[in-house]
Amino acid sequence: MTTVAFDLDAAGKLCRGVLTWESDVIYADIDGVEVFRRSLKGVAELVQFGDVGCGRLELKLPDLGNEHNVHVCRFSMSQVGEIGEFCKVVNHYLQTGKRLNIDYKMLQRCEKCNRHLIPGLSICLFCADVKSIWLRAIRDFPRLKPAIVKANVFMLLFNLARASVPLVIGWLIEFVLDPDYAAQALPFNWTPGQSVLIAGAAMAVLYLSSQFFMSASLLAINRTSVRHSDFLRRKTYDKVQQLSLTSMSKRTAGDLMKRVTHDTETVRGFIDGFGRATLEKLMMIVIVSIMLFVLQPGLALMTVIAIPITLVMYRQFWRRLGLKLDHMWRSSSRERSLLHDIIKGIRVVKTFGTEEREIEKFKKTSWRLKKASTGVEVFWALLNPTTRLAMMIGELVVMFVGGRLVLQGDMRLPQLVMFTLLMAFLFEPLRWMSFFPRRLAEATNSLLKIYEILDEEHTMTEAEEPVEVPVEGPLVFENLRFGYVPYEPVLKNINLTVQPGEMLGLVGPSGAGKSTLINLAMRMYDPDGGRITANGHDLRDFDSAWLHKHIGVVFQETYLFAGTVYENIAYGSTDATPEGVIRAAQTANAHEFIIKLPDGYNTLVGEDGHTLSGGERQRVAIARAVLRNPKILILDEATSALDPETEGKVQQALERLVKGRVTIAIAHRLSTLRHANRLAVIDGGEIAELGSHRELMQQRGIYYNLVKTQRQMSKETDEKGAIEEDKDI
Amino acid sequence: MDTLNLEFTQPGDVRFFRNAQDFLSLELGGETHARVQLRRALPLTDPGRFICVADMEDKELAVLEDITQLEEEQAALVAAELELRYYTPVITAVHSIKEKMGSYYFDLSIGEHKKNAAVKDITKNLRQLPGSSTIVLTDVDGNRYLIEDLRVVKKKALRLLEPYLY
Repeated sequence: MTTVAFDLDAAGKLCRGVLTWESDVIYADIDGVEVFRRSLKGVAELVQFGDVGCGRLELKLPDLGNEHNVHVCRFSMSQVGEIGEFCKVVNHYLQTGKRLNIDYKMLQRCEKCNRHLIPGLSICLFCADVKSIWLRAIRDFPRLKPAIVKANVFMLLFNLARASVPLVIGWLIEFVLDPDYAAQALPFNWTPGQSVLIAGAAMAVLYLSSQFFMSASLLAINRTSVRHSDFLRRKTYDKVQQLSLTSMSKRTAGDLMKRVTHDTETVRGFIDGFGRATLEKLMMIVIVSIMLFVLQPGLALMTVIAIPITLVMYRQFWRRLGLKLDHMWRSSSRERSLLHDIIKGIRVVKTFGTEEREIEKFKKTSWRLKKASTGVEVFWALLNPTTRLAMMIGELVVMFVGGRLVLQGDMRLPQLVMFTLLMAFLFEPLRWMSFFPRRLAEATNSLLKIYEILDEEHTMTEAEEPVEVPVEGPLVFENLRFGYVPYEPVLKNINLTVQPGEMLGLVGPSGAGKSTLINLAMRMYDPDGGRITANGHDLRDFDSAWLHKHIGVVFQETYLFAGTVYENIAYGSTDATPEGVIRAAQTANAHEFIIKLPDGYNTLVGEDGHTLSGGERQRVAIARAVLRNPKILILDEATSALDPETEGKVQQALERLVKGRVTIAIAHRLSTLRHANRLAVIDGGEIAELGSHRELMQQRGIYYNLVKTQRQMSKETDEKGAIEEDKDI
Repeated sequence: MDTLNLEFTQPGDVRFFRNAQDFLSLELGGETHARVQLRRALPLTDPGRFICVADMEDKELAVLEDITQLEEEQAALVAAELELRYYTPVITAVHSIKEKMGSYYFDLSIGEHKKNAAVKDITKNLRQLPGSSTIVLTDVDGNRYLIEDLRVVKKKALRLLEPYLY
């Protein structure tokens, strides 16, 4: 029995529903009352439709249109994952007769609180245990622990030295005010004069040693935190390189970069900055409290009781201020993005004459920022004197009670001075510590994001004993099924064989699944059902590095890495020779333009280097593919962005390249595929038509219509060009 | 200027009805479309106007200017279908908003039902519609919740929401 929850009734109102699949029957209950029951016999599949903020589940009947579907239930977006998994297991059963279990990992819910996870995170932020995250940081990087201990020991000594200064001051006052007491109390028959000198020297030693201990503490923690940050950065970067395309496609390039750079730095900043400083302040509070109790327990108790009260007061103030600051930051961020938007689109603003409107828009945004900033400043202005006043009242009470104790002879005056000086050490850190929760949350969040990448499981497993045969044709797709999400199959029932020396062209509308098919052929993803074989072996049986080494690919967008033209052609070919690189460039029609460059093959390209045109980049990419001498070649819109003349040159290069290999090419411009032996029309994730150009034209199906449309468009734009294309095709 | 004149389907030219499977069907120009879907052009600011009717292959069949122009029974049919297609529950109470490491967790009431909503980028996902007091909250699942009029919500909800409103 498989059950999932759904949460909308037939009228679209929230409800508590349960959808059950048992034997060959599906039924739905709302609050225990059955609202739907139907046998799965005669059902083709379960289909999930997406509306806005909700969805529907329907049963599709074989060979009938959507209007004959049977409505099962409705659900909000909160249940879309569950219903999708339900569809997946039921549809698998309908197609194969085999039962699957729901993959609860796919549901993206917290096992503890059942809240949905924030996209891109596999850990629930609501339930995340801050302590265990930081303990793991220490466990993963063993050098961190001794460094933290060492830094804390030095910090303790620093705090002791700093807190001892008021004691020496008090001692000094004793000798000046009461020479008789001094004569009695002084060791080694020191004269008051000598004692003053010694006290001065002691203060100097304390100041110097405190600075020394602080430096030693900083040195210990800073060096280790920099190493830790480097460790995290390298580990995260290594993992990013190993991630499958499925994992990569869940995140943007910016997000991954942020995790490698920004998040690792945030963690470092916390360990050697705020985190360290907070510990330091905490130690100071403990040391000073002990000293106060030693000096005068009664008065100390009155003072120490104020600590939690002050802390709570601060937290309340800071919570409010935090909200106001958030508001101000958001206003500021909006102002920045508006500014960025307008400046970037200034040509549009000017040409449409909308300067006044944009000025007005910016004025409003700026006014909102001013309002938010004023709110913060007013709060600050009130907060500071209020908290100072609270502290002053505390000091006054201590002075009053302490003064009375001195008058009664229960306390000496220098002790009272010491007491008040130490009290300053006590309250100063409290203000600092109220920032702590926010900074801790920021750093923990960064650490969490890093661990999420590190903990990502490999979705594609490597064969334990990989086959070591050449990766070559025939390339066979057998009953292939694949979807990025379980409820939306992108490819269904694909059966294809591409022989060595054959070029297969893939055509079809955008989003039909062409690129997905070639990504599967390159084993960037693993199929959900069926298999792909090369040379008779499942792609999963090859070592993935070995497999990729033997597959050449030319994309529409060619990325050239920072480096020379030579390095870019030789990229991925470990045994490249200059002769080989030049030969590959000649085959790719790239040699002719490279040789004209002043630095030839040594020309720097990439972000800071020489700018190559689209066609030139494309030919460098083809040369890269040629050099690898792959037996399987993938061309993904390799010439779509080029002008006719350049395309001609690239086409010539490709013709030379495809000989004797398995070639799969995608192109929207059908003339590009004129050399293809066969064409496969992909529509709705299935092979709708398969055959040569002539055969498909005779079928008068999708391909015929595509050719007709392209001819019509060509005719409208360029009559002459269309006649030539006719000849070509 | 003809290219800018949006051609609306005349209310008298369309007849909606429910087919045997209870799906919305349309008769238009003598042709019957066994199942159609409705789409709002301005779902947040003008939900009752500019309604596009498409078949299941997403081919646009008609554009209705205003559902109130339809006959009462037809308008009710269209309005009910739109309500089903666009699920934007109205928030009746905001119990708490908790910030956890940069993301926000809302505890809400939708009528008698309690609902948790996790919100990632609160600046983008809690927005007040321009020139109105309607608030739209979008959670990480893609649910969209509505506060129809901020001026009439309870003080507690207002106090909780205000810091995040722009």
